[in-house]
Amino acid sequence: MSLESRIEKDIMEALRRTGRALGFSELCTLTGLNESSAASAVSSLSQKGLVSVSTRETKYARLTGEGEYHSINGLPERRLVKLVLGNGGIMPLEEARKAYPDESFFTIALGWLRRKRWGAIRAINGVPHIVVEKEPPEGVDETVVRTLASGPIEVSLLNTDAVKLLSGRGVVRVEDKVERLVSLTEAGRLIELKVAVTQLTPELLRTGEWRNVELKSYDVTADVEPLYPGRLHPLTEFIKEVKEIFTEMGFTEAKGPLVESCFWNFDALFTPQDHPAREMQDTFYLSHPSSTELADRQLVERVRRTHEDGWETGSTGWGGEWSEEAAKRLVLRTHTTCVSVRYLYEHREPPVKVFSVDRVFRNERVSFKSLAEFHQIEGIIMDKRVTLRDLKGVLTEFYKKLGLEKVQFWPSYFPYTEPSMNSVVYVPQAGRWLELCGMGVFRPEVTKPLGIEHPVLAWGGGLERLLMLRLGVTDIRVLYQNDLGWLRRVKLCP
Amino acid sequence: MPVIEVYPERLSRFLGIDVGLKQLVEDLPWLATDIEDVGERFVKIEYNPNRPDFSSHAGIARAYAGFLEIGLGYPDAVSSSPTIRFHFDSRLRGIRGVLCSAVVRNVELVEEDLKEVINVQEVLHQGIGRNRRKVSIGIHDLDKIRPPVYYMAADPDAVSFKPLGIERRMTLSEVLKEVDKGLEYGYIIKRFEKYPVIVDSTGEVLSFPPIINSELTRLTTETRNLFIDVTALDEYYASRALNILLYVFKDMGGSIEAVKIIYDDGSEKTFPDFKPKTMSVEASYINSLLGKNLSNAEIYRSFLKCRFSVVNGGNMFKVGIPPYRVDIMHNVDLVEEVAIGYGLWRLTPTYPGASTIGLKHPETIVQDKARLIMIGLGFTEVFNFLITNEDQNYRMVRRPVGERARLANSSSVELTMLRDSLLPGLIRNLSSNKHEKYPQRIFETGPVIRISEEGSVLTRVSLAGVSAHSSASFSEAKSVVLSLLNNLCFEPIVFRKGEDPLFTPGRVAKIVFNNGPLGVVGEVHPEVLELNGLENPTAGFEIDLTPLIEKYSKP
Repeated sequence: MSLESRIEKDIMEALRRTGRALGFSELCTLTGLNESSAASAVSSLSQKGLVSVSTRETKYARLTGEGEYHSINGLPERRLVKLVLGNGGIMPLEEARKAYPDESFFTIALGWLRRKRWGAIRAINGVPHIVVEKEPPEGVDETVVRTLASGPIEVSLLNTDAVKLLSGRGVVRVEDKVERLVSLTEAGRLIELKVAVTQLTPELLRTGEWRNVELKSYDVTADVEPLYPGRLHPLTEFIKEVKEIFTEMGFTEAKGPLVESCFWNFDALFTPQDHPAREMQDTFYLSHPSSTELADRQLVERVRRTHEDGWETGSTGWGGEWSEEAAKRLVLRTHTTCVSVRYLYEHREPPVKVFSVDRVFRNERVSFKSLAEFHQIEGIIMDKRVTLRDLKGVLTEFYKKLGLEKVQFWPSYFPYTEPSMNSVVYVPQAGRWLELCGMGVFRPEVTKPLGIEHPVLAWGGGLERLLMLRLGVTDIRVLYQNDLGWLRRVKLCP
Repeated sequence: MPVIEVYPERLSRFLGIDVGLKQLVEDLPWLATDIEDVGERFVKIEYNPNRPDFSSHAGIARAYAGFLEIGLGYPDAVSSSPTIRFHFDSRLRGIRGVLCSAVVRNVELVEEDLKEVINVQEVLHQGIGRNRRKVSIGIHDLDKIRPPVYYMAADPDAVSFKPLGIERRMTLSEVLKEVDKGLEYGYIIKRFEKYPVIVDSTGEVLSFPPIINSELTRLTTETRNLFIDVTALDEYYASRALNILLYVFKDMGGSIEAVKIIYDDGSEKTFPDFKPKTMSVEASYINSLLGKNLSNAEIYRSFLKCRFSVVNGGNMFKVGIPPYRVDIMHNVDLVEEVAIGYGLWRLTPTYPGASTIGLKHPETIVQDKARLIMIGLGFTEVFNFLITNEDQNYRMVRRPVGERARLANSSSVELTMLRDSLLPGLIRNLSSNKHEKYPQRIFETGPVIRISEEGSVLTRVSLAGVSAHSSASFSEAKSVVLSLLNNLCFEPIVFRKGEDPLFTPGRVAKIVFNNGPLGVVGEVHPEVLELNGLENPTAGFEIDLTPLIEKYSKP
C-alpha cells in the first residue's frame, strides 16, 4: 500500500498534523489544493483504506448584503455613537438625524444605542438630545460581523447569542450545510508516507527524492509490445558460420567475377565445348556485353591443345576443334570452381588452401527445390603430397564443425575431377541423409595448363539445402522471399 | 542425369547368379551410382553420364559381376567377317561425315529386351550423341533390307519414304516440317542443301539420320537379325556407341557380324572395332593419389574387378580398356578404377599436414563490419537476387532504363538483366511487407553490376538501406549514413545537392568521398511509393563499399 502522488501525501500529512477529522474546505485551506484534486486524492486514499470519509451537517453563518455593508462601515449604532461623541457627547436629536450619514439606518441606530445602553435621550429645554458618555468597547456582535467579513464560518465557532441577535437584525444569515469529513483510519495513522512513482525520473535521481518515493510494483506477468531487433539474414548468418569454419581450418577466402568467361567457367575446367551443361537451357549467357577478351595467350593455347588432343597432359583430349570464340562468351558463373581455379593460377606455390562461399547461377525454372541463383560452398587444397584419403579427412572435419558427425563417401563423376566422390551426411535436425558435396582431385587436364604441378583436392556443394534442413524450411524460395515477418521471427538455433 | 529401374530377376539373368533387392541397394552405390528410389520389385538408380553402358541391365550386370568377383577381367566380344557392304557417299563429309555399322544375328528379343534396347539407344542419343547432333543410331530388321546399303546425300524433295509410325510416304523436307521428330531434330541438318539418307539396293529408304527410321525396317519381337547404322560427327564416339549397343545384344545372346564401309575413293573400314585400347599407369602414381600403399596384386585385382585386362611389369600396369567404356581419357581415370575396384570405403580418412593461416577476403571483412553497424542501427537484413528485370530495376522506381548487363537466354521474362542498384529491390521488399508492423527498416549489401565506359562488366559492392514509417525523413536517413560512414572510417565525407528520380527533388543528396561519388541519400519520391502501393513515408540511401574494400585489400 502506497501513495499515488504528492497530493495524497500532502493530505495525509495535514490529517496527521491536525490530529482530527477535517472537512473538505478546511483540508483545501490547509493543503492549498483545489477542491477537485483534493476530492480525487481523498477518494483514492479511501479506496486504499487509509482515510475514512463521513458526512456531518453544519450550520454556517454568513453576512447578508446588509451585513456586508455594516462590516465595512460599522454597525449603525456604532456610527451614531461616533457622531455624537464627535459633537462633545451631547447633540440634539434632530440635528443628529440630519448629520447621520445614512438616514435609513438612523432609527435602527437610535434603537440599538438605547438597547445597548451606549447612550440615552434626555430632554434639555424641551428639546430631545442624545447623550453618550464614552466610547463603548467592541461588542460580541461586532466581533462576529468582523470575523464573518472574511467568509462564512461554522456557527459553533462563533458566539451563538450574537449570531442569533444579528440574524434577527437581518445582518447575518444562518445556513445548513452537509459537509464530508475526512479522517485517518488506523492504517492511515501507521503507514509510512511515501509517494509511489511509476517512472523513475532523472529529477528524482538528481534531487535524491527517490529515497522518499516508492517505486510502484508492476504486473510483471502482463503482455508487452513485441520488439524486433535489427538482425542479419539467416543466409548471412550461415555463410558467416561456414566461412569461419574454413578460416579456422586455415583456408583463405577467394573472390572472383560473377560474370565470367566460358573460358574460366568451363574450358579451364576441361568441360568440353559441346557439354550439355554449356547449353542455353542450363547456363545464363549475356547478350550485353556478350563476350570478353582472353588476356593470357599462352594459357589459352595450352587449354586449346588440352581440349583438342590432350597437349602435354597425357590425355586423349576431347577431339574436335576448340573454339576460342565460344570460350570468350560471357556467362553468369555456374559454380565457384572458376574462382578457385583463377586463384590457383595466381598462387602456384604449394601449399594453397582456398575457399569460397558465394553466388552461382543456373538457368533453371524456379521451384520449391531449385532456384536460378543460389550459393555454393567450395574448398580447395593444393600441396605436394595430398591424397584422396586427405580429402575424406578434411571433409569429415569440415562436417563435424557443422555439427554433422555421420558422413559417407561414394564414388561419383565430375568432368574436372578424377577420382571423384560424393558425400552423404546425416542431418540430425532433419533425421535423414542428405547428398551434400561433390569432390575429387582435379584432373591433370585442368591443372597442367594452369602450370600447377601438384595434386589439387576440391569439393563443393550447395549451401541452401543444408540451411533449409537446419531451419526446417521445405521450400527453398522462402530463403529469398524477404518476408519481414519471417526475418523478424525466424529462430536461428544452431 | 540418366536413371534406370533395376529389377533383380532381370539382372540375375545377365549375372548368372541370383541377387536380391536389398543387396543391390547396398552394393550399387559403390559402382558410382545413386539410389534414387527403392520400389517393391526394383531399385531406381541414377548414374553418371560418363557411363552410358549403365543404360541396360546387361551393362550394369557386366560391372556388377566384377564387383562380386564372379566375372573378372576384360569381357571379350568377337565379330564374324562382313557379308554386307555399306557404301559411303563422300558428299556427306561436311554434313554428317562418320558412319559405323554392324549386324546382329540370331537374337531373340522379348518385349522387355526391345524396350531396353530402345532405352540404350535413347541414352546414347542424349549423352555422347549430344541429343543426336554428334551421334545417332538406327536399328533395323535386317530381313527387310536388300543389301548392299548406301549412305548418301539426297535432295530433300526428291526422296520419299514412310517414316516410322506414319502411314503415308513423305519427302525429307515434309518430314522436317510435319513429323514430331523432324521438328525436334531438323535443326541439325536443315542448313545443308542435301540431307543424309540410308537406302538399300532397291532404293528403299531405311533411315533418315539423325531424324527418323523407316516404317519398313521396324523392330518387333519377331525380329531375329538386326542391321545397325551409326551416323556421327566423331568416329571415336560413334564406334563406342556402337560397341555399347553391341555388347548389350551380345549379352542378350546375339552373334555379331562385321559390316564393311566402302568409301568413294575405294578405301574400306570394317566395324565394329572391338580392339582394346591400352593405357599404362604406374603403381606409385596410383598410390600417391589414393594415399595408400597398395601391393601390385591388389592393384592387379582391382583392375580385373573393373573389367580391364591387365599386364603388370614392376611398377607399371598396362591395361586394356573395355570397348564400351567412353570415359578413360587419361591414366588418372585408371586411378579411379583402382579406387572403385579396391573399394572406396577401404580408404580411411587422413588429415593433410600443411600448416596454413586462414584469412577472410577484404570484401567479407568490410561487409561484415557494415552489417554489424546496420543491425546496431535497427535495420534488418534482406537478401535479394542479382538477376532482375527492367520493370523492377528501373520503371518501378522512376529511374530511366540505362546501360545494363543483359541476359541472352533467360527461361523467364522476369529474369532479363543484372541489378545495377540495391534500392529497387529494397523498395520491392517494402511493397511485399505492407502487412508487417512499422517502422520497417531494412538493408542489403551485395554486388551490383554496371557497364563501364569501355563496355565491359563492372562489379561493385554496394550497401543500401531504407526506413519506412509515418515520420521517415531525409534527416533520419542522413543520420544513418553519417553514422555508418563514420564507423567505417570513410573520411572526409561531403553531402551535395543531388538528383535521382527515385527520390523527391530537393530532398536528395549525393555523397562524396575523396572527391569521388560514393552514393546517394534522400526521401523516396511519393510517386515511387504510390507505384509500389506504399503508404508510409520512406527515406533511404545507397553507398558503394568498394573504395573501402580496396583500402583493406592493400597490404
